[in-house]
Amino acid sequence: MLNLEQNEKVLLILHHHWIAFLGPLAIAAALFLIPFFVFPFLSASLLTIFLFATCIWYLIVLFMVLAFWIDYYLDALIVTDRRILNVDQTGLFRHVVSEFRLERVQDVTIEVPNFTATIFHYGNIEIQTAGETSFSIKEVPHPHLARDLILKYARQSANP
Amino acid sequence: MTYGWAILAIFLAGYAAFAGAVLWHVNIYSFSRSAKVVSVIFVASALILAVFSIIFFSQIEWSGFGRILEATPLTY
Repeated sequence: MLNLEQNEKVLLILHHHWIAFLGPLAIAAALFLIPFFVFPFLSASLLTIFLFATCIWYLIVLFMVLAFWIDYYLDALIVTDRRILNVDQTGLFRHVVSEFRLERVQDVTIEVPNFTATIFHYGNIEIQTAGETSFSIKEVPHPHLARDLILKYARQSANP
Repeated sequence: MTYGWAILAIFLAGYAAFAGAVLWHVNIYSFSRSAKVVSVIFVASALILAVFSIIFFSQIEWSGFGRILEATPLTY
């Protein structure tokens, strides 16, 4: 839920790159496959109990996937034409929102950490402000474009 | 068997309540329509699994459960 000021426009919402979701998804896929490995060792008489247990197991795995997705989706950096909001999702319900005005931006550092990041065009962004606080978000798509946009609007805000 | 149904009902009710709270939270703080799409997929999948769990649970023969365990000793 974004409470925007009057005439404030959202320029960019930076979520993590989809590749950041692959690790948790691999864990979920491994958990999903467990019943398939158990199945060959079952006797026919245990089939109904097995199917019931599998349904319950998949309900738990499904909830885990939802929890992973929430962590991936609600972690975001929102750039408007006046300020930057950093939403840090730290649990299912807990999140921390910090914000600062664009004119306080002093430096935007981007980091492309490895070869995979080069291929899939993602990286980390760190924004430093005049108050010596910094905000960062990891594994976001097209960090160069985001940096250019933030710096452009930061300059416009500093020299209107 | 009655205890089994009670435990299953408590589990499913707790699951529905907790998942409902989580989905409500996500949709309150969502930035786009994808939260709604994911919510619908999650609810549909969970409903199907819950219905199947009830169906399979009702088909378990509790009276012969002890014999089933006896009839399937571990073999090496």
